[in-house]
Amino acid sequence: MPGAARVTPAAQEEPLDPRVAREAAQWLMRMHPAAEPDDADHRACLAWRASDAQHELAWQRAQRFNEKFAVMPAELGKAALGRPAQRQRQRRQAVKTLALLLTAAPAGILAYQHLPVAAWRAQYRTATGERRSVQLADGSRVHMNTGTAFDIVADDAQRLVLLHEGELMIQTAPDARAMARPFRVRTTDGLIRAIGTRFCVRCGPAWSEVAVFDGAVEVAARDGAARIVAASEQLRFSSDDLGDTETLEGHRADWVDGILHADNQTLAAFAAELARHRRGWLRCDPAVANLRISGSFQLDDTDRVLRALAATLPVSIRFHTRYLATIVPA
Amino acid sequence: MRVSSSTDPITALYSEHNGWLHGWLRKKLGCAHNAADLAQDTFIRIVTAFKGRDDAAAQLREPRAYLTTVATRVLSNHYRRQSLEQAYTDALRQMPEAATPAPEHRLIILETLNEIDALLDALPHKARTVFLAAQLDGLTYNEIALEYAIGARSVRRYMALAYERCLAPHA
Repeated sequence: MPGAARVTPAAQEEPLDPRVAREAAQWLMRMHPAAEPDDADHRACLAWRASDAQHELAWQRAQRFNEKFAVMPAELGKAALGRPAQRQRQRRQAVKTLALLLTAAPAGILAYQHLPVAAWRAQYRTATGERRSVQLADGSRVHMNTGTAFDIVADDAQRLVLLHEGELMIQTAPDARAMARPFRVRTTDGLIRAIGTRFCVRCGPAWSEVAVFDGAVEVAARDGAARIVAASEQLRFSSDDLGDTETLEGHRADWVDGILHADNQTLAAFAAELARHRRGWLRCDPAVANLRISGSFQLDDTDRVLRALAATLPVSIRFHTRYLATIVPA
Repeated sequence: MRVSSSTDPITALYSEHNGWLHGWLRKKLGCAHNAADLAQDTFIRIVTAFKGRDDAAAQLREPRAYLTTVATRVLSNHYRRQSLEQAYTDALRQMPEAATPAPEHRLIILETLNEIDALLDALPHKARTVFLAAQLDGLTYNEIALEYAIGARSVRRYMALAYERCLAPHA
């Protein structure tokens, strides 16, 4: 008897050769960020993908599957997908509260098109909480902040950094070639051209930010508008709004030295910043969100930063699990 | 879908057995409304399975046994989806208001969850837990091994198994 088709999106595609699927699964396991693959792994994986069109097809399919997780709010995903296994068919009452969901408008689909798939394939990557520094082939030095991924494209015409997520501090080197190639950084929001310089680029959720320490950069938003950002200035822009330059925040690059600096910052903003450096979730109870905080903190031990908060502010830290912490009123 | 021709074996299957299937589902579900939907789903699956293979469909020896096999899968998919929706709405209700996704995203997230859930359906519970920890908690394999007190090799084996199921759901 023929088996029934499973009407899932994957089932509507041409099935993969089971041997290819098994091999691909091994690579996906090895290359998952959780496996902390190194550069040799990346090269080996690229070679495997390139060796057969079926390999690449399997890889791309799996990336589409990974994307679904990337856009998933982690807590909701855990609660729904990690629900206890059903022992038997339960005649549960139909969900009464679908009304909660049905206020949905199809407009939301577009918002989910920005998928961090490229971050998976990036040549350079740091995990949450990790910071490191790399020297590019042209001599430029790049410091990577927590949760950062980028690729570099260098050819005869250009040096182009593709920043997929996170934050970089770049010290460009003068190009040794006879015809100096421009040094540029692309984010989802636009293109930044360095003019002999030291600068930071950060990829935010709906914007990019440039902070210039030496020299200058030219920022071109995706919609074509362009502006020069000079030393001691910073600029936050989106693909269709270039915004205005502001004075550089004094401690903008402290993360390079592993320091998080706060100057009369709200606790909510501080927690959001600290959360970038911690695995799991860090939340701030609205009741204490507007407390103010100042000081310098070591990023290497975020648990210690949380303990310091509890010691200096009227708050306490509630650890629900190792990876879910909330700052609550003391 | 080719259900217009009167000689089409699927059409014949439908007109002969739809009433019976409907009754079978209603008895299982205790609800006529859902039974109609699921009978529909069952035939859609059958049409998809036999696409371009009319001879195979014409040679079905025991159509009702076949229908119940497919309908049983549709039914278990229905229960799976129901429990997923329940867990999802519970989680939404327990979240602080400020942290919940915008209303226009809630249904999209549910659909995404459903796609993932269907693919992970047959995965052993431990493998599922490990896979979710890597995909959603951002834990490394070593941390997962510590957190769930299992060997690092098991973590890697479960991860590969999960990916294999997603890439080849029929296997």
